[in-house]
Amino acid sequence: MNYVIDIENVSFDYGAVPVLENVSLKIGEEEFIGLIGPNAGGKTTLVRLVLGLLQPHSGRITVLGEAPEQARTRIGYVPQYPIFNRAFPITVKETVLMGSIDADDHFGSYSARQRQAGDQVMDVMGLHGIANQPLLNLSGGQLQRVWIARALCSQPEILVLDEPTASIDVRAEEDIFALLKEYNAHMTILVVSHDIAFISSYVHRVACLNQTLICHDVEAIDGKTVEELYGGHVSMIHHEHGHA
Amino acid sequence: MNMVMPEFITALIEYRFLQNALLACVLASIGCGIAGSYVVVKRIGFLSGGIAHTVLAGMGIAYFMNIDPMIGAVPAALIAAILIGVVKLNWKQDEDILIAAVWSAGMAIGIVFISRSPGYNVDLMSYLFGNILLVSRQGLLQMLLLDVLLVCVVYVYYRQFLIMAFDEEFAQIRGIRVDLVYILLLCLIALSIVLMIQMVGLVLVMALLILPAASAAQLTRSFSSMILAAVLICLIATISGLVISYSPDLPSGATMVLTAGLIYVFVLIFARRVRY
Repeated sequence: MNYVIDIENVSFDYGAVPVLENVSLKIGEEEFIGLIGPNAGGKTTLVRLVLGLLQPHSGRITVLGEAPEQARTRIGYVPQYPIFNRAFPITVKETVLMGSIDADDHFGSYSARQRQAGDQVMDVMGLHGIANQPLLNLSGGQLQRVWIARALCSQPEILVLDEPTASIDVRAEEDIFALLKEYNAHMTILVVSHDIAFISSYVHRVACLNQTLICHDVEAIDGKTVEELYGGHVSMIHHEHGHA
Repeated sequence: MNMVMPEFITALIEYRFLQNALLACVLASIGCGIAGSYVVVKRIGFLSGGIAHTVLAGMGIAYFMNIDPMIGAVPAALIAAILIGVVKLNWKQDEDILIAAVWSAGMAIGIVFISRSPGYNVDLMSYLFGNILLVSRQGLLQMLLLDVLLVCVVYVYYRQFLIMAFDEEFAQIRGIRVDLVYILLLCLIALSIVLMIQMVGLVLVMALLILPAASAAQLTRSFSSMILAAVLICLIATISGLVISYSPDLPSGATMVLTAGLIYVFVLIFARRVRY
């Protein structure tokens, strides 16, 4: 079986603080996988390793059969808190189109193919009505849709989302996950969340990360797993499994 | 203003140096608006100040060697941009201290060389605070060349600069060589600083780089229109600064900077919600 993301015995630390220890995770084609765990459990670090923004101190990561630095242009990435200057004068449309820029793109104008991809994702994400609005005018939920559209604009093979719904309400969260589910038909999706109850009704598999990693099919998640992961401080949340 | 304008216009028709000064305003505003827009959105005002002041090293060395200091300014600005860029990319936690060190060491080198140069050191003040009325034909030609270079590079790398300026991490994931694009951008800013030194001097460059672009950011909703607005506002600030300073014989560079500052305050107060 060919794995889209193959993480083998990866360890990582920030100086004296170990963050990941011997983490292995294999993600298959068109899988929708949730990565959960407590704060500072290493979720964002693992994502940054997959994107080649950090190098593992031991172990190996391949993405689409290549090193992460080579393969990352084929990943659509939605960061947790995109660091951007809110006063940057830029419209929704310009921001989404930026998602399709690569190292060979010069001059100011986009190709017909890029524009078409941009229009299509803006349609899907419901951004057409605000395409010419500056980012400054957007609400948290609208902004989140812009980041997802930007990630989808390059027509990636893998979509990685780091807490995509941290700053929006439940209703908008449901809409976004329903959309992701559609994209999952032809795209591998890795979504980081701290909300195990919510995501387990959408994903196929949950990887629980707290320095080490344990994988579960959604059916197998019970009170004990959650206790192990969070150290027993969390009361169990009831959830229903909608396994596609 | 009613009293000032006619006198300025008669003088403009009569004196070559004033025509040169006006042309210098136009040429400097082009570079200033373009580079300033990047400085403002990328929030690298301090870093640009560092590049500007380090240029004195190159001007001082050129002056000592009896070469036109404006020619020494170009390599000095580029070296300063690369040095400060490398500091920024590799020693992020000490960035503040290291840039301040490069800044002051550059100035110190310049001052030492100027003090060792034969003759009367009258030029030091005009390097620091500029003197647009002394811009020569050769100076104008240099400004024109720098403008052409600046416009061409920004035209070619427009989208690379845009994505890097907006979100460095995302640019990296898109396969952009963020460090190289960043250094290239700093080099462009360095060239635009050289462009403005004759007008306002290296001490006041920072204000003219930042104020028109910051005003433009308040008024526009896309980056390309921000650049155009910044060029236009810079043009208004420099030309009205020149006109206002002429009759009462005020320092022209400082008057331009104050005009740009007034425009910025005006924009902040009255135009916050208007975006084109």
